[in-house]
Amino acid sequence: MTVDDLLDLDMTDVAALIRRQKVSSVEVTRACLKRIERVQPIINCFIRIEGEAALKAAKRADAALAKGKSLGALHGVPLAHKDMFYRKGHVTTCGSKIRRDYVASEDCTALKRLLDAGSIYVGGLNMAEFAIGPTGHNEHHGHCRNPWNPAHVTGGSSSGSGSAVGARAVFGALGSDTGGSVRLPASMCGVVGMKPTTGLVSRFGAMPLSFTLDTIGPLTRSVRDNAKLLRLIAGPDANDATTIQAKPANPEAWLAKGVKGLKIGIPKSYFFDVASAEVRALYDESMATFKKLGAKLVEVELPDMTRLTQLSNLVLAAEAATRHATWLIERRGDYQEQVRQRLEPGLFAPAVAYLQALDARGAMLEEFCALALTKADILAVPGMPFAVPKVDDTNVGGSPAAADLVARISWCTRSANYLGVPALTLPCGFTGNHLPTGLQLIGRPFAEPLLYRAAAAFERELDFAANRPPII
Amino acid sequence: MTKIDGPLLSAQASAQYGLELNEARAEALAAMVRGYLDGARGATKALPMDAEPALFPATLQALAKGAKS
Repeated sequence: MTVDDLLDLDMTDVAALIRRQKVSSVEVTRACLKRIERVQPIINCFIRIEGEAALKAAKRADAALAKGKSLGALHGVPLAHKDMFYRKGHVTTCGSKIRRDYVASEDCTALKRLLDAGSIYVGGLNMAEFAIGPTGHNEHHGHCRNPWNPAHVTGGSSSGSGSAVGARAVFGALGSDTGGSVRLPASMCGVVGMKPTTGLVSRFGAMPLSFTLDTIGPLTRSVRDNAKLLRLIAGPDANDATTIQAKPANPEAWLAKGVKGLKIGIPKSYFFDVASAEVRALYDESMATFKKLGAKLVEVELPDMTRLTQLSNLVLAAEAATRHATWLIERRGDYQEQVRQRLEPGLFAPAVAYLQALDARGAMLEEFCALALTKADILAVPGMPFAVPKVDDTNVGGSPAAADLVARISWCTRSANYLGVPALTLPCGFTGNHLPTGLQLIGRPFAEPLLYRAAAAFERELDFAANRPPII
Repeated sequence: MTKIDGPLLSAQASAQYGLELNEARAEALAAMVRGYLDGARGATKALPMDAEPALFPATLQALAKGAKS
């Protein structure tokens, strides 16, 4: 098999080939490193490449397999992750200058579970500084660029996760999502991204941004890969008391069920307010596809989504400023201007307003489910409301245009974090600038299996993976 | 009620954090804080007295039961 042949496989297929010893982990890891060597100067998706260590781990994986020992579902499969998931004794930069040399003292649970399943760690992926920023700009480590056209942004904050998986340089990646940070790069880089229900995946050992809104989720090339990674990382964790206590349902079991009879909600308001005509047209085509597959389309009302976004912003501001308060005063010059300007308002968020926003969360979720998810089983909305912009056109720094840009890009993603509900994006086509755009499916709490079921049916019909980014 | 404006916020920034803000930045931050207050006030008008964040995980579990398999 050539490098291209190997890297065109999805994670599930390559894991099966390694397990059956049709191909070795060393061959697959070398193929990834070769692709990384080629694309890194173009798209800057890595902050740190750990090639030598990855090859050593691949050799160990092959040796174990030769002795009949399998480490798990991801035995010998190369992955890389947003550089904010700690590994004891290793550097984790969090995309920042402040933590450029930070050595973690603990292992991130989600990452450890993937390593325990046998995956190979290839390196730390680029990200927005401290996971704050929806475009992929990073002045400390270099801007991350889109594999479909490097003049364009990747989306953020899990910019390298979207870019590296989109460029088929690794088979999957972890990202974090506090207001769209998995779903935006997934939408913009043509991959699948899942923001799970609050509490489904442990956040232990992941860089915190907002205690209430942070989630960890996978970015992959296929829906089945995504379901597999989520199955591996989800579930109780004694180190994170906010994680669910019971074992969650296996989402992989739902992938082949199809969408016949499934009711898909089309919102009457909000989500299309800033959407471009071409994104709306692709959305309408996607709904026609679901209808052809046997789903029922129903129009649904929504609560005041602008209010939800306002509350989400307040919670994020207060919690992120709490985390960064000391550095904001003592190391002001070490932040990018835009990041500092986004963190600063939270220093002045009144405690009562913040706690009121938290108090309102349950009632808001009840209202959302009653209105949007009673007549419909899932809600379908755009992932990103307009075509992927250029790096230079969105290099707004700390100017007044920055707040407007952030608000418009994350228009469709921010509310799901406040509500705590699961939301998945998958590619649904290309806009006029030949860059991908994503469809977002939102469900009731813990409805991840249902979202994967709908997404898998859509993916089978569209076959987006047949398209390859021009740089590879 | 005192409106949160630039000078008030600037004084708070200086007293609480030792930060010196220029007039435009202080006004911008004051506008954001007014937005926070407005958002929270609007959201809590109809809230029962016993709503609290600790109950949110139970709400998530309760609403999961309506999900279709």
